Amino acid sequence: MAIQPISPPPTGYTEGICATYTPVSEVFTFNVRTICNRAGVDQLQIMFKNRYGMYDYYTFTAGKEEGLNIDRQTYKTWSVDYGSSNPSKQPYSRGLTDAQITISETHVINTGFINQPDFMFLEELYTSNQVYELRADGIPRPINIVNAEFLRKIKGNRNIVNLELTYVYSNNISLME
Amino acid sequence: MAQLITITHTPPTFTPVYTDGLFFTITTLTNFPKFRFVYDLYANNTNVFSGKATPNPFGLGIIDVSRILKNYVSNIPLSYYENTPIYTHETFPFSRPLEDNVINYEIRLGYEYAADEISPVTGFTGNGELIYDPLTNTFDLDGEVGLPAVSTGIYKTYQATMGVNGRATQQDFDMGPFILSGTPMNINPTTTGLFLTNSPRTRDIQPTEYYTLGFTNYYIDQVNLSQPYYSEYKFYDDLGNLLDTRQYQNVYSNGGGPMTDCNYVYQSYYNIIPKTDTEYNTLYLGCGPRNIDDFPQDTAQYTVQLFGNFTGSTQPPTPTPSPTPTPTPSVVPCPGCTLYTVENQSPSTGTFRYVDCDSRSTQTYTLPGNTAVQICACTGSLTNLSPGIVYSGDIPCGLQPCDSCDSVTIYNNSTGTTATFTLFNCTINSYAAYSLPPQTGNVYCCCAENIITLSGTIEIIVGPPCNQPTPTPTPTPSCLFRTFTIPLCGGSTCRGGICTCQNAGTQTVYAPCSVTTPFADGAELYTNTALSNPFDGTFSNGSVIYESINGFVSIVCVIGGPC
Repeated sequence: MAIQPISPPPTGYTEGICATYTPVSEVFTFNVRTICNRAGVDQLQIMFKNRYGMYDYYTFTAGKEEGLNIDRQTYKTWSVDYGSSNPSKQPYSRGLTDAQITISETHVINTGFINQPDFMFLEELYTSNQVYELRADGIPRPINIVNAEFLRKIKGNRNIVNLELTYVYSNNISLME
Repeated sequence: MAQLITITHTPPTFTPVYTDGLFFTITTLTNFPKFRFVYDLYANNTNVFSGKATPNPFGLGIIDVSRILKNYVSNIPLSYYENTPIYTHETFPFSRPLEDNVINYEIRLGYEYAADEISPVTGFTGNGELIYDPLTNTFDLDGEVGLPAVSTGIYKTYQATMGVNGRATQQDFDMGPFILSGTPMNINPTTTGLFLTNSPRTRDIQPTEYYTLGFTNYYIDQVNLSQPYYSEYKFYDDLGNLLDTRQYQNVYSNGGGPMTDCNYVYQSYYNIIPKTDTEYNTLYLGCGPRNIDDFPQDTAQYTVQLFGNFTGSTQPPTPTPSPTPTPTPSVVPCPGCTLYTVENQSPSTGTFRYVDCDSRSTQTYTLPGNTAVQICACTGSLTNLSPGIVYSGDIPCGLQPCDSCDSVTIYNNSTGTTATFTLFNCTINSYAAYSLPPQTGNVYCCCAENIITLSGTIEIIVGPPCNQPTPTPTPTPSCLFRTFTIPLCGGSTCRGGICTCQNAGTQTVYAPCSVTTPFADGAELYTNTALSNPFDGTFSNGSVIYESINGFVSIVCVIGGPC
């Protein structure tokens, strides 16, 4: 049975410390920075499972493109109903017919100028099998990365300043047949 | 019975499932027809796979379980906050993965072979005896028939891989830098005490973003321990001034755990959550601006760090969740204590066994011939008496088995089984056995730590102190008296000036243990075991005639000599 998570989560936490202890972990530093939104959406944060099995995050803030890949299965029919008692062709009679149309939304997002540490880190995003798109409502939407190649920013290839990520939604609406 | 299978290689006790080193190698004598190693793999105590491994040319069986175990680990983006499922990215302050991100596993090893090439195979447990034939200077297996039974012990694995591709040539992944115990080493980069991420340690983040950090937690094996007790957030403005510092405890009610409050430390908590538990081995820490409740305004930079590492020399007492059924101690039940007098009426040394009232252990006592001792033994526990040993006694004894007596309420919560148990009843100052019908309870003034369940299951709730018993000192087992049978001399011992003893039968006399022989000047002799009635009479050892007056022995004359 599917689990229905509670969102937003409970807030019954308590502050305070168990005792005065010494550091056991490294320090993680966050610089709070409101970035000019060029993505055309309120927020486009990507959540992905990293190579330690835990979840990491990255926000693509630069240009974004969306589109549809459309795939059609068609067949041709006789536009005259020869099997009837009075075969004729009517103005609405169809010849080429669409049997099935499927769409998949394609999203191309960009990091904007990216530094070396972020670049190395994002290699895990491109190779992750569990990636989600977090939009403003905070609900994760499963996506699939479709990039087939990841070009590393190394000493011999310094001119890469932007990463482009192409993905499709894991779920698309089923069109009428 | 010996273990016939030798485990020659084991994987690390806590390792990512997607590593090449997650295999065991085993060996034994393999030169039998159709020989194969057989094994059962248990993941989280469930048998998930049974397999066989043909030994390689060096007699080694290779058991690679990573491809099996990877099917039993998963980590969807949901977590538990206590028992409430939440989205992982909304974690605050802590959460644990909802699914089995970490599992424990165990392999039970055995082998099989056939008597000859056309016979069916027989399975062996892996235990048995190694038989050496000195004539041929060869060994053979005398194995126990059955399912695989040689255990590798408990290992843990979790859904992860090598971290970065540069480590792909390594067999095992070094988890050491990710264990949160001890002071983190070095800065920029820090090389120990790492979170479970390859992210840059300084990140730009927008006020609308989520962020979580994964980390190891609790016993990752029987020895190594990640012990982050709380998280600390420090918020700074754009001038570098500290705006606020917040700390959140890593306890169950905050989404973490496994500890439920700060009265515990990890080192003692494995009495409650065993070291083999995997539910809390990886946790998330919420640290995005959208995760942090009441995120301070004007924050330009903030830091996140975990604190912990209990180093106390003495461990705090382990609180017991209340109420908890008391486990049955591994001591012999004792329905009560009696002071016994044990006498060896035989002239030769004898032995007997009894349950000592203080230690509750069965002991064997060696009693010299014609001696007696007093012991405080569990009532009715004297057994294996050598010929000639008799005992008697009905006086209660026994030291108070506890420092203070408490009002203890004992319940039998079962629905169909009567519970029986023994305890030291401080009211009657004695051990006693009791029974409780199903769904009943009673209050006893007794020693709380000395209750022994004989049958059924009882629940013990300790209340305030009650009346204190008067201890009865336990006598130290020691010799009480000695028994001698002496030949009596009748009539006069001096006839014609010659010392003579006329046979007048025998007499059993008793003496203090300090008296080793009645035929000695100054010996004390009595006619009862209490040594209160002095023996008066004349007796002989065949060469010398002695006389006892008021219980004291003196030499009369030498037979055949002058008198």
